[in-house]
Amino acid sequence: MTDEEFDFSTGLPSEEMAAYLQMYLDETAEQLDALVEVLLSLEENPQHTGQLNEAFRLIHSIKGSSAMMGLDSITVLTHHLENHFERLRSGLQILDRRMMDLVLRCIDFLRECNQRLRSGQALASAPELLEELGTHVGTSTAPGAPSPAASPADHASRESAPESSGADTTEPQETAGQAPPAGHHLPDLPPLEPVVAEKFHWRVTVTFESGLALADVKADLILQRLNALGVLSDSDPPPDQLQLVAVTRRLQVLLSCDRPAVEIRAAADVGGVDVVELDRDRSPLGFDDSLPASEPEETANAIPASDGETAVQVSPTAPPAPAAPAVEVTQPTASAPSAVSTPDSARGERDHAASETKSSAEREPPRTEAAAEGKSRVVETVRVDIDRLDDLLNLAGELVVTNARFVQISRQMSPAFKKSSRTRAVGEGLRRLLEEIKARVQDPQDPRGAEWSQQLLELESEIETLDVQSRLWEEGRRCFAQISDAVNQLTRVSDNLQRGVLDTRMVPVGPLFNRFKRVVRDISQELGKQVVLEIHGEKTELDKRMIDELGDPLVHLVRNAIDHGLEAADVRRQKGKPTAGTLTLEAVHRGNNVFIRVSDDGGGINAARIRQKIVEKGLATADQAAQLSDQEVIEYIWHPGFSTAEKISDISGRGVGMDIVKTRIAELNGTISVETQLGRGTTFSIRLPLTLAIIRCLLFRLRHGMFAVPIDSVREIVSVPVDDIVTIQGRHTFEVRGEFVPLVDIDDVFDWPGTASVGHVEATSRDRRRVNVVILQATHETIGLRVDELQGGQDIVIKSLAENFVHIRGLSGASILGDGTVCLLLDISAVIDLVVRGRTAVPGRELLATT
Amino acid sequence: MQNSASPPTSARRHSSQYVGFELAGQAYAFRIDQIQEIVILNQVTKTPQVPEFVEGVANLRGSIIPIINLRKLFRLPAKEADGDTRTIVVNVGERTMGCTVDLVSQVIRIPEENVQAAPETVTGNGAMYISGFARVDGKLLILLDIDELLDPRKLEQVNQAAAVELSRGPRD
Repeated sequence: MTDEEFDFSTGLPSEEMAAYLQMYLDETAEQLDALVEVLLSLEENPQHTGQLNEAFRLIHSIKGSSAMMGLDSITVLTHHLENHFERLRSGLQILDRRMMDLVLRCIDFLRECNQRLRSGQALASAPELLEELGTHVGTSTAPGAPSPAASPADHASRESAPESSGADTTEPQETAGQAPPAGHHLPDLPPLEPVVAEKFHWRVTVTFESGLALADVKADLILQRLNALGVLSDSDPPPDQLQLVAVTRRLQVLLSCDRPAVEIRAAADVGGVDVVELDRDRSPLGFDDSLPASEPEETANAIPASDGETAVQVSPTAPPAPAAPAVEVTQPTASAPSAVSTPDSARGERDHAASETKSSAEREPPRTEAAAEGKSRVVETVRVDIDRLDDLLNLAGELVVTNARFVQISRQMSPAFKKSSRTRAVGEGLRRLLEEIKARVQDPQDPRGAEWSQQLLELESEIETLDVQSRLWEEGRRCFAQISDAVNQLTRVSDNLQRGVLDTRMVPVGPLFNRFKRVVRDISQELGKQVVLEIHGEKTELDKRMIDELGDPLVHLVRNAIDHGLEAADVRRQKGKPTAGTLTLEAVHRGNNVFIRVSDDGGGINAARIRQKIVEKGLATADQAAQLSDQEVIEYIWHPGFSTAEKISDISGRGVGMDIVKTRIAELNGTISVETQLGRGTTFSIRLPLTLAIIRCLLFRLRHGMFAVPIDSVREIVSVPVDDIVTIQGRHTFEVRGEFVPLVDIDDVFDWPGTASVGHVEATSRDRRRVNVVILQATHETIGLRVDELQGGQDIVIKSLAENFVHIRGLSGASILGDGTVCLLLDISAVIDLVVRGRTAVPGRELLATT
Repeated sequence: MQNSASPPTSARRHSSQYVGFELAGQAYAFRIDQIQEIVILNQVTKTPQVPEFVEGVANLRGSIIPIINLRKLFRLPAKEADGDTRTIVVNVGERTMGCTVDLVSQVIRIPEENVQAAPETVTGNGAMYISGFARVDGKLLILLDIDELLDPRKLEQVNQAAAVELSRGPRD
């Protein structure tokens, strides 16, 4: 097999296909994921027919769509894979370890292809994979079985593949009138037509379009055309009763011939024919009840048609050469139509077959095994570019902020408008007074009457003006009441919109977790450890972006757990544990958080060794290290530059330390904690907000501006009398219900540019008798942060600082408040880390690198 | 443009537009293509753990952008913001950043032949951010390269280089 034979270093897909590329990529990505899962289950049970068929279907489907996209290198590779799976499912080849690895590598290659397509790069070719796929045929063929699928046949079918798959892909578009959705891709083309001439018995079932005129003539034509290909042994209805076709819309023919399925299909596919079903009959005996007309598995590729009535195209039941000998051995090659059943019983059988076909088409996935797993693959969905959802979420966020501004304004206006009724009362009072004065001064005896009349008139007109103003004011009040209502309405709508947008972005963690089956398999094989992966809570939902971001940290944790956590089999045996270690991935939804746990039943983290490392790395002196509790020691694994990896292996110690994991989690506004029991195992718990973007926070003002902390991190808010603050070992501490909590000022946490003088803070706080303290908690540690002014809780839209600048340790983002100013969001666990373990060893290390 | 101070029309093809601004009496210019807008910012939120030349972050129509004080970056004497103070919003790679300057003077078209490349004595000292010099209306204009100047990874280096420049005394 030479390179130029398949020169698929072809460039990008043609222009008009580019629009479909996105769809193709999404589809195949899912199919590849599904394929990996199927393969992994096959690894346990290599003979599982249902799964083999499923793998075949997935590969076939990828092949079909890649052919449609003109991605030749993918088509060729998948075609070869398909060949193998054809052989695998017909029992001619066994899915051994080598084959499994090869297939997985092919999948990697296909993933890489997708990656390249996504980034607009040209596709690479994989000659070595093809070569291996080619050689593998010879080596793993079941002994004794002739291998008609050797290179000539192989070659021939390969050449015919793109063409036929092209036809294949267009067919359903005509019948169903729309592009096939993922997962229901196309029925099989007959990809592996043997070139070797062998006689087969075919059951050809032709379904006509409904209401077709002259159906009997068409049926007759088909009979003639088929007759030209081979020997017609029987037909239903029989040749002399073809008019029945007009009612049944169905013609079934038993044909014995040596032509490839494509030719038979072409012969039967005349105008007015809806579906041609080819079935290589196991027995040439006819429509016998004792033989199932078509097994459910064989009709697995039926596509549910758009109207559920027509266009059920059933694939040929994979009649390739390799399967032939096995069949031939068991079935006597009797070509004589000996036992033909009566038309009536045949019809009964046919109906039975039809209903079976239909029901299996409706069931998706059609295999009972898959169905039993409870995985529904068909959900009506719309694919949306995640960037669009991001934009939408941003807009919803802006709306929430703007709404907050309205709420604030209307709250400010409300006292003013409540007092309004006074103006009217004042006006009325004045008018009464005026009338009294008038009554007095208009006394004809009083000479001053004329003198005052002018002023009285003026006063009267002023009061009138006041009345007008008062009416306007009243009008304004009414409007304000309406505005208030409108604002409330807006609040409700914007909240719902926000929630709706957030819900749209929620996806189950299942696919993310399932990816780890492969990761665990690879790592455990590489390290020669036996690992059982348990997955719980895969239906738990998280924001899509969050899922995307979680992959790397989780891979790191999983690698760590297998590499360092789980002991080798012999060690485990000595300890009386099962030789296979258990790694558990678990997701649970609790309140506004999702917890993801990675736990192993390995040796646990050895605090003594970490203590030693702390000293070695100069993170603390031996004395200091000795004073730390085990839990405190273990917290050091999060310290930048700390890695317990004894030796740099391929798996861990890639320079991605646990501190990076922690930082990544912090960027998602989550926290991570570790619990470990020596000899029993380790559990890493990641706590995440449900969504990336909007978090309920407590806002407070500090000297440097407004700050926010996620409300989940706030244990309580207390007002501490200054006199109760004590100094223990140079640190301010106060007591809450018998517990001593360190009291910190924001300046203990952060360095502020251009601001000196801690004295200033001391001075201001000393002026007060009590200080407000927000008690913050992150897993095992608690601090009290002194705040100047509490502002209350609010949903805030989180924006990244790193997007336009850099990540700042201790801050997990920022938000824009109702008044347009920026407030900073504290990353509590990093803040505690900064306080407890001092500021980073190298100040600003992560920021604006100096070299 | 024909009646402007710039030389003949033939040079138009080989000229670039710059936005001129001043810091402590010295004229500087950025090429116009990376400038997004020029704004007056009232509210800048201070950020911790950053060098002094980072003023903080500000809200630019819903985006949070860092604000770099160019005076402080160049280690020039500090100056309170006044009516002339402007923030030039620039695009640095994928990032949008703001930098404050004393005043923004004008948009200038400078023919390429009027631009002198920065001598090696300057760039050799780490002042890669100076892309060249130009004389416009008798005044010396320092042309700055935004990517070299404001890339967060290079800011510290720029700040160091500015210290060296400063210690060498006035240019020219």
